[in-house]
Amino acid sequence: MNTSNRTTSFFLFFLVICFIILSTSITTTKAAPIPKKSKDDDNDNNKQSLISANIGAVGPLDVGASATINSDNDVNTSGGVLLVLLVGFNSHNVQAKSATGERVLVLLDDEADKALYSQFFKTLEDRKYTFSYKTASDPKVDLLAFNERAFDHVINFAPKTKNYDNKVNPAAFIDFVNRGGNILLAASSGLSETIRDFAREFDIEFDDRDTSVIDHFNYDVSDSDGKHTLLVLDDKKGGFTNNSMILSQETLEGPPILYKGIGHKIGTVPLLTRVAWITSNTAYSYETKEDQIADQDPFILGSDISLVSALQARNNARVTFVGSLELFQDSSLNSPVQKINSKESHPKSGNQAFVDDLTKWTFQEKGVLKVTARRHHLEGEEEPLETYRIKDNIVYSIEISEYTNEKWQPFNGTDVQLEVIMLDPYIRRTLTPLEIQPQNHHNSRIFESHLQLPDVYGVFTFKVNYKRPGYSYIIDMTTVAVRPFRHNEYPRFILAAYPYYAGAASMSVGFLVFSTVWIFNKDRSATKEDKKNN
Amino acid sequence: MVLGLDAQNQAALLKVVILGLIAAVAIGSRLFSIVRYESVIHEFDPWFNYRTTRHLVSNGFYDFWNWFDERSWYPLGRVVGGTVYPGIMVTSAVIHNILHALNFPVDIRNICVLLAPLFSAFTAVAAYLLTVEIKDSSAGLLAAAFIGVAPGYISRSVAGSYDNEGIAIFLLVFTFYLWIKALKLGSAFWGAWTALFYFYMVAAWVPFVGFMPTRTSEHMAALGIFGLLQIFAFVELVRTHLSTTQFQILFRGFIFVSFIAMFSALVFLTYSGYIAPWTGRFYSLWDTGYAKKYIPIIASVSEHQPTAWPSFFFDLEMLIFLFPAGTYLCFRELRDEHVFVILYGITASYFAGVMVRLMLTLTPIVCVTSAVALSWLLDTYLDVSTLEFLPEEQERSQNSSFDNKVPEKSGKREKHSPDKTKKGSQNSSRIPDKKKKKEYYGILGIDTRMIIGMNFIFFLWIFMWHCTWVTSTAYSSPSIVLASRGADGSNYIIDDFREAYYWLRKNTDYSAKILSWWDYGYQIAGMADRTVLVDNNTWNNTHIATVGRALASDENVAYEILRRHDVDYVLIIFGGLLGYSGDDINKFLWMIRIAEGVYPDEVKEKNFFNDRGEYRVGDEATPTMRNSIMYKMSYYNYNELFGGQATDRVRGTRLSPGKIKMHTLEEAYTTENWIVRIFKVKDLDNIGRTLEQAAGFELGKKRRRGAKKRVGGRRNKSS
Repeated sequence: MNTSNRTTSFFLFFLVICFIILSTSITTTKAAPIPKKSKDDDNDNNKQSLISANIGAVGPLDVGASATINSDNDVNTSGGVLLVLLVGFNSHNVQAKSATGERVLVLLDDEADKALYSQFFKTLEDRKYTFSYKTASDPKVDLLAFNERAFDHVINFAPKTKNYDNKVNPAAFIDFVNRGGNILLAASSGLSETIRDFAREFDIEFDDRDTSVIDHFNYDVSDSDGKHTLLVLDDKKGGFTNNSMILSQETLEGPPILYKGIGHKIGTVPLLTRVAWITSNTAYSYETKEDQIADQDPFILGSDISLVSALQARNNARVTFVGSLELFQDSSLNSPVQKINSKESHPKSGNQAFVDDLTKWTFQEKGVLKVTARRHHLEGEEEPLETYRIKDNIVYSIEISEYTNEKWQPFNGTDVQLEVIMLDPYIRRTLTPLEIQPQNHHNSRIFESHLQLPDVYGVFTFKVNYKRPGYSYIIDMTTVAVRPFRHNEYPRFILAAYPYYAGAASMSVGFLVFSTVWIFNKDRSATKEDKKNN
Repeated sequence: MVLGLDAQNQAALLKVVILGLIAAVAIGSRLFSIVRYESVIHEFDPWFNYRTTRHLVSNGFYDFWNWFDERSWYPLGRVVGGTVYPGIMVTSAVIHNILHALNFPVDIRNICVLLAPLFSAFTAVAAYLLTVEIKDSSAGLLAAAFIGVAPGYISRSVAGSYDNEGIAIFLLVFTFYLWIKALKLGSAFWGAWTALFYFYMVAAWVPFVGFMPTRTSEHMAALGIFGLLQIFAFVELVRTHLSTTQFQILFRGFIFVSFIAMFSALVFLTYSGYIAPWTGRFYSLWDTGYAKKYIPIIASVSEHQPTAWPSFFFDLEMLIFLFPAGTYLCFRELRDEHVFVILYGITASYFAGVMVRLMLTLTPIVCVTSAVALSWLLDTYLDVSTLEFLPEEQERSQNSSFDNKVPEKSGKREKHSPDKTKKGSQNSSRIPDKKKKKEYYGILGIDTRMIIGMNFIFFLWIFMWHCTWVTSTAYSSPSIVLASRGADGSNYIIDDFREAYYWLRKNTDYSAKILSWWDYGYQIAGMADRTVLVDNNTWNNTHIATVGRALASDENVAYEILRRHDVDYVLIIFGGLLGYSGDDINKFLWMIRIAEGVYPDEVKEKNFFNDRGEYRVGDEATPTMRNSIMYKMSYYNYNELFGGQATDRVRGTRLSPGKIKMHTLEEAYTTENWIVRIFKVKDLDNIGRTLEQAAGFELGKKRRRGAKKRVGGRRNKSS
């Protein structure tokens, strides 16, 4: 299988090279820079562009709709168009640990800042990501190439850059997310307005410039300047999400985490998840200038202060906001932790495990689900029908894979539900997870339900709408028509109708008898009359 | 001797030739639409009939009978097989199959297009037969000629007008002919044929009947007559067995008891729900204002409006004044068939006055009676035999005997006799008295004959002229293609509808759902082949009202409705640029009324009328009107087309300047003349913003920072 895949890959690769050469020679533009990538990298990208180019040719207006929601009747397609989708094509020979790709763009305020995060980037490189380091103000940087995503993930460590002269601005970032790219964004007290505007689109409101989260009762001993902004986050139960997809057990049980940075407040958008926040009531967010006058109330206090928040967009792109650049720096990754007024001390902070978890989740290494197949058919049959009859007994099943430990495995959830909807849900049922069959080559688990269709005709949608925090969303829709009985499908002889049968039968018999009698009588009387007349 | 035939055979040959020519004229005058445009199906309902016929031809009768159409009335679906008028589809399919069996590979579309003209030829023959029963064959030929070209019938039977009426009128006339024949002859053979054709007519015009005749009030009268006949037969039977006095007592008692019993049974069954009460359509036949008040969906259809009097002349021209004369002549004879004609004529003319659509049922009887009247007149004035006698001697023998074809009319004749005598004597001087003696009656003077004859030739000529003109100008437009003339007389074809439907067909997903007002449902299903929410089969008022409500609501309310119904595209008709008055803004009040009928709390008609009680667009439109998505979609980007302030050429109003903003819908396609506009319903925002916020962001508008509320409310001025 692998060899055939390779061959196909190479074939496609050459095709695309030809295509690119052709297109560049035709357009005669100034040598548009082709992003340099590794061979395999190129492969992946080109396949994608080929395929989407095809989609584009079919109907430019519809790309979004047809690629995201599969509401037609084609079932049983193992490649299945998925909402979940992200990039299913290359799942077998993915190099990085991410389910979606390995190209990472790192944006920095200054090229030199790279050294500050060397350990962080090293761990990512170990996970086989490929990096492009750019300053955010670099005029050449572009998230797109040939109208396709040029990167799979963006790490934005450039909160201070105010004016993006290039194509990297909030609108471009949101476009990037809409195209399925993931973003890890770290802010700091010196947050520019551009980033603030960007975050606001995600319903996240960072506090004003130059503010920091301050807690005079809860800081690290090394915080010696008296501002008390280097916080020790040790309330692992209350101050962190307990979602096992986002934060691993290891992190939650490990040493406290050092945090120094800005706080934010999250809005009501349901796609948002708080990852880390303040639990102590003594914390507040305020400016840390020298000689300042406290003439205004703080923007956020206590447990309203969020430190790390994550949003998974409807297309499953993940965006994580961290209020602290220091969190990722080598200094805090290796720093010992000792809370003030506490004897408990740790030789190393829990930051490394924490940022690992954040990147794993954000870059789609964990909690990624996809539907590999869906089926519906009559009980006792195999073939799906486009039209069922009311009150038919049918079987609906859906196969779901989960991406963990670098490969697709059967998903182990137990709460996947099916809804049968025509304007309103007529049936809502939890699907039964089946045991894994050895021949199941999808590495997925079948969730199945036996159900009787409602006694109402119309166009019904089988909808699996599985949205759990931390996991990518599944919205899988299949529409089928449910028709009424055909005229000859009704029961033939029913007890209540016997009077009618009797009526019809007696009428027919009576008619026959009457005609016979009448015909013979007529003959005789006619002859008699004739005789009389004669 | 011509062609070696005797007089009788010559007459028969002539009749056949004349009928053949009439049939040719009837077909020919219906072909304007094909010559002018092309061989397409017209209007709205024919598109549904065409679509179902195609389904029947390709899938067979069993599948057609049990067809559940999941591509209309999304997501409810429609049981087509059980609700359709199958007569016309089956007829076309049979013709199609016969032609194919004979190796004529004719496309089903052409059969559908030409079915109505073909049947109009049959109608002419049926009208001939019917009128022969009423009067004679010369009247029959006139009736055939009239119905062949009468605009009242042509309006529903031009080529492409593939509707039930196309064959139902033929079946109606022919059934009446067979019925009269059976009545006259008392023959079971003809009776059986009557029943058979009656069944065919019902199949073409009334959906699968089922238990309707016993379950609805409309049909109770027919059922009552049927019962009455049974009683009558029973009474006759009893009478033969009893003496007169006994019978009298029994008869009165029986009548009384049975009347009370039947009436109370009727009332009881109605109240207990076994018999459906009168439907709204029925009430609206008696009270023309009824529909407007209670069932706007019926009143909103233009063909359900009361008839304006000029349309009688428009559709029937001179026939309309010959019609009373013919009816009067029927009274003079008053045989069974004449009573039938009179009853038919009177009821049909009442109903034609109530509903424009019923003009169609009036037309055949008008043609028949007018033909009777005209034929009478011609009989009288063109009877050549009266020229060939000696007037002087015969004048006083008027009341001796008559041509047996001419009924008694002694009173009238005597009244006129002095006049005739006078003319006769005048004529006598000119006409040389040479021929053999013959009894005579009627008109003598050649000048009178000339005057009347020329006059009616002129009338007939004008009638033909008028019919052709009306057919050509008024009834031959397919209404899916419009034509207009430029100042220099050049012809412009406006093909926006097909342009839009074709765009839908080629550029949208096969399973895309299109929301539009129900008028366009059949056309979208037929031409664009996309799923629609509502169509011209208005079986579910609530669903239509929901669509009306969506169009009449502001964006946010509408968006929820659109999402809930999985709508992908919204299609509207906008005539403002071209001055096409049948557009959706003009129909909008009906949508509002229908929506208000079902959702009285959400949609209120009065909110669409401004302070002066006017329904306006532009500056004087009410806020509710301006915010409705119908208004926004119609005028979206319209100002920009004119570079500032645009004028709506249908309403003759200048619009208020400024850009119309929409965040839940985006323009997908607008046709050449802006008649059809298609909007795509946006998906939910990917990152959870409201669509309004997302649209604002797209336009470069930053979200306000006002959301920042300080914990204690204190804030320094400097910041």
